[in-house]
Amino acid sequence: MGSCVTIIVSSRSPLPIPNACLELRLEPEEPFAIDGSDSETTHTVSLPNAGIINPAQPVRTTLTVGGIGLHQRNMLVQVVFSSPATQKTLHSATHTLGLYIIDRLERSYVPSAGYPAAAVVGEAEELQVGIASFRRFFNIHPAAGIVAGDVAVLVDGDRQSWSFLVQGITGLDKLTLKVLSAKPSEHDDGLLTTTILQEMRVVLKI
Amino acid sequence: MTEPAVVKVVDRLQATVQTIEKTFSTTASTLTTQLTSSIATMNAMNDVMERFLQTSIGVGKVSCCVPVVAKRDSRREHRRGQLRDDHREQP
Repeated sequence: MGSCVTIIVSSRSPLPIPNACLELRLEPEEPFAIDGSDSETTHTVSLPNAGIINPAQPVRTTLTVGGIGLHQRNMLVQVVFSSPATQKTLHSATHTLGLYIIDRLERSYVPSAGYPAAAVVGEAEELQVGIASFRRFFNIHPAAGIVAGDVAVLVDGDRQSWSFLVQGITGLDKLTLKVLSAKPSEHDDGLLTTTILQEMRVVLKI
Repeated sequence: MTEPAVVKVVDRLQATVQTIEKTFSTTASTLTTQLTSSIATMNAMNDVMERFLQTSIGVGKVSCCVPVVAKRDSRREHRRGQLRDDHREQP
């Protein structure tokens, strides 16, 4: 399964930048697919607006990145464009975008799932996250309340899933989640679950 | 015209020609120097501008999520896909 990445390109230059396109690679370098294309190590993607980046008018493009499985990768992005003066082909500085595993999982939220906190047995992993970022990430309506016992679920197709129980809310801005269940594939040695928890701590920071 | 008078005129003409040659030579040399200097300045300015352009471009990830897959409600998914395409075409 791939993930949809929306990339925004802006310019602080007072000059319009002509013939701009994106050059994409992964770190560490490996083949990947863009919008269902064949897997290659480097992809060149055209930009909207005929490739012209006007001053103070950021350009957005949405790509589907596939073929990298459930692995954490950095995407290296360079903007390739023509010099307005000499028409020489120029490369911008390299920008790095993180492709998180949790962004490649389907998200769902089950309010009032009815799991008592006591249902979590053993030494379940616990993590504190920000309520605002948690709401955004799981697309919870602003009018919908978040209460202890709700469950947030991340699913990789029909194969693997991770469930998080809302255990408690501290103040107005943070809540405590406990890993209710993690069903990674039989090949996973626990590293995937650990990485997912790390990413949740980063993405859902307070 | 007597011969000495002719010689005098020829001498004057030669002197004039030399003056003209000298003037043109100096002007051409000055122009070449100025032109070379202007080209060097222009190239330096182009380099500065190109380096500025290379660093003036910012790239960021606005959002990242699971792509919409036609699965349950095909009409709804189509609408979503359409929105994504529309979004892609925005400047």
